Amino acid sequence: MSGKRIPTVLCFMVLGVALFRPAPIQAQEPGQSIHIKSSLGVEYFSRTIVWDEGLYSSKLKAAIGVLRAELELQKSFTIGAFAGYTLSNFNGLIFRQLPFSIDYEAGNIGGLLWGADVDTILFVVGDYTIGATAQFAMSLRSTAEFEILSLNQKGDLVAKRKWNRVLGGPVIRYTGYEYFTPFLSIAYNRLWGTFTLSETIVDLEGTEEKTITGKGIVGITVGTVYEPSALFKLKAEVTALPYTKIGGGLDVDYGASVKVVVFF
Amino acid sequence: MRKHHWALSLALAGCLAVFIGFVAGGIPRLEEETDYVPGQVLLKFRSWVPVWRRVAALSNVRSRAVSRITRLDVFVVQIPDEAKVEDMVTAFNRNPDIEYAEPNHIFRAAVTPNDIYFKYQYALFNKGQDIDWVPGGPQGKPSADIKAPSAWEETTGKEDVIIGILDTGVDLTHEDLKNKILPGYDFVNDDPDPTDDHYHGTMVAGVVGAETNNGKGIAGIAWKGKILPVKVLNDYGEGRASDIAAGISWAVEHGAKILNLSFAAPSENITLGTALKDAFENKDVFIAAAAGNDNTAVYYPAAYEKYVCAVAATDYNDERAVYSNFGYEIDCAAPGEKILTTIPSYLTTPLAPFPYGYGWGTSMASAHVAGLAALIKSIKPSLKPGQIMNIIRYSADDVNASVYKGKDEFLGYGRINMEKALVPLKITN
Repeated sequence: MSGKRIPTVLCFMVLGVALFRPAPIQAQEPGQSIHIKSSLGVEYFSRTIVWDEGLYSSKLKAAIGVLRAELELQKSFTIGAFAGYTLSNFNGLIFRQLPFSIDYEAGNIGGLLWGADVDTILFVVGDYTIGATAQFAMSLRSTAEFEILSLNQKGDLVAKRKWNRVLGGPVIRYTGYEYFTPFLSIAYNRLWGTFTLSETIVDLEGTEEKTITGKGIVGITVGTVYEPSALFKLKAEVTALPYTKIGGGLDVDYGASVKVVVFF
Repeated sequence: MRKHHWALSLALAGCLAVFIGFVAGGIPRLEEETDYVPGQVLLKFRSWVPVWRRVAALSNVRSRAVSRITRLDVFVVQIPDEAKVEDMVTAFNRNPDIEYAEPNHIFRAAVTPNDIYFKYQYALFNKGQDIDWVPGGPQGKPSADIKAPSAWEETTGKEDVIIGILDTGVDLTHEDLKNKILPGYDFVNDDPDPTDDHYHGTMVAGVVGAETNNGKGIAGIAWKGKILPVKVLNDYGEGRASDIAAGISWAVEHGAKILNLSFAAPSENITLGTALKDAFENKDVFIAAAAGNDNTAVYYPAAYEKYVCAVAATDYNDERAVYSNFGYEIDCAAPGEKILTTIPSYLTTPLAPFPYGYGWGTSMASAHVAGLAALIKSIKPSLKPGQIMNIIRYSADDVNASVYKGKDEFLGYGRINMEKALVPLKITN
């Protein structure tokens, strides 16, 4: 998918979820239909990425911590925004167009991240609800510097990376338990970004930018929300994202997240 | 709970178990290409540990022995698919019943060509072997070489990189060269037959780009690069500046991106200098030249320091060859002492029937640099010749650092290192 089409898809997903009229789950008491919540969330994912026009692959491993503000307009419709910090590990990228080729194995580069999400319930069937969710996350461009010490002249490297992720799709929740709400989601899940490396060794200079794209576009997420009181809830989920390996064969990437939500 | 939905509950429990595994770092999934066999660990129990405890130690972590190296009493253990080898090794090594556990590492052969005389080419790979096929000859110092096999893992060149050999011509029928040679020209006799009537050009051509991995003779540095023979030296190994300048221009016009000039003279020549400048600045041609073999100041054309990579010679111990010319113009060094290479077929005799022999001098050293430049050009075609020169300079090993640290007038930046010049440098934190 081209870079220009991705924002379009994102807009359709967010608008699609937002414009669906939420199903009336139960009578809402006046004054209780809008809640503001805040949450603290952590997430880890490992995602196979391809680069150099799909010729090579490696992993993007990211650990994310966010603070999130959430507006629950009705019991069935929530919109949120979040901001936080991510450690993103692009180990395995190889830059062969620099004067001296570089095998990047320097680990995490930290940086800020923000995003927004929408969640709605569309239908209620017995103890099950069927809804939709969409999220956009952007890890802002961040920079790290490294030294080249293996040559007879000292060199410097400046790495800049950024990535974006959009995901969205239907969610089925089971509401038959008192405290737990297990859910299953099959979601479109797209990741893309860039990693740029600039090299300077005395008078040798070069810059190479890699456009990276996540393999796989549909992920399966299972998880549960634990809500022991009206003031607090805990959400945990794991995601499996199957993809086709370069050269054939199937493999799966994984991710997991935990979110603690406090109501105001 | 209002209802029991067992299937959903089980799915949820499984999901939570996996999640807890993630958070706790329990059994993370193997995700990267590794340098060991995925899913396997080598393990040795202490000798007194009874069988039942061995079995329990493995089954407790859902592992099993798949084979045993009887003499060493070492087991090859299969670990759970989802487990990470490093974590399992750590866990096993905490068990007091286990003497040691380690990954089942994969050992890979570096690219070693099958050319039968490759073992004598210490310049490419020196493990301290005999470097003379006559018994009693010298042995090299291990690693006093240009690290060719590991560099060949990155590239063996490309056919569209043309290397101009301006010399006495090349033996066009040589078994190890004939498939590598493009139609050239003879500027000495002004005809299109650049056959070598000396021997020097054939020797240089073999170092740069002898046909490699063909089960014959020697290995060239640029396996796939094409050789453009341009005869500018006569059968005495001498040439006129006018022929050399014309040969340079002709080679450039015929697509050469690398030139090797393994000849030298103490006098500057404006015409020759102009031809080199034009090739370097206007045609992006990399030029390697021999510094000279008279243990004196660097000769021309190597002394044109702006356009030419001036190459000194080292030996099989990584020491400067005593005859190698010196001066601030020296950019780097390469092996030049006792270099096994191709010789013209007509020089073979019943007593010496193989068209291979040893060469000495900065001519051989320059040919190594030209071959390396051809490999760099093949994987980074957009680089300018000055950039290629700097890559060769900065990646060199400062082998005389104990005496002259940094760039010096004897070996320049040092003896070239193909591995550092070509293989991606690993950047870690």
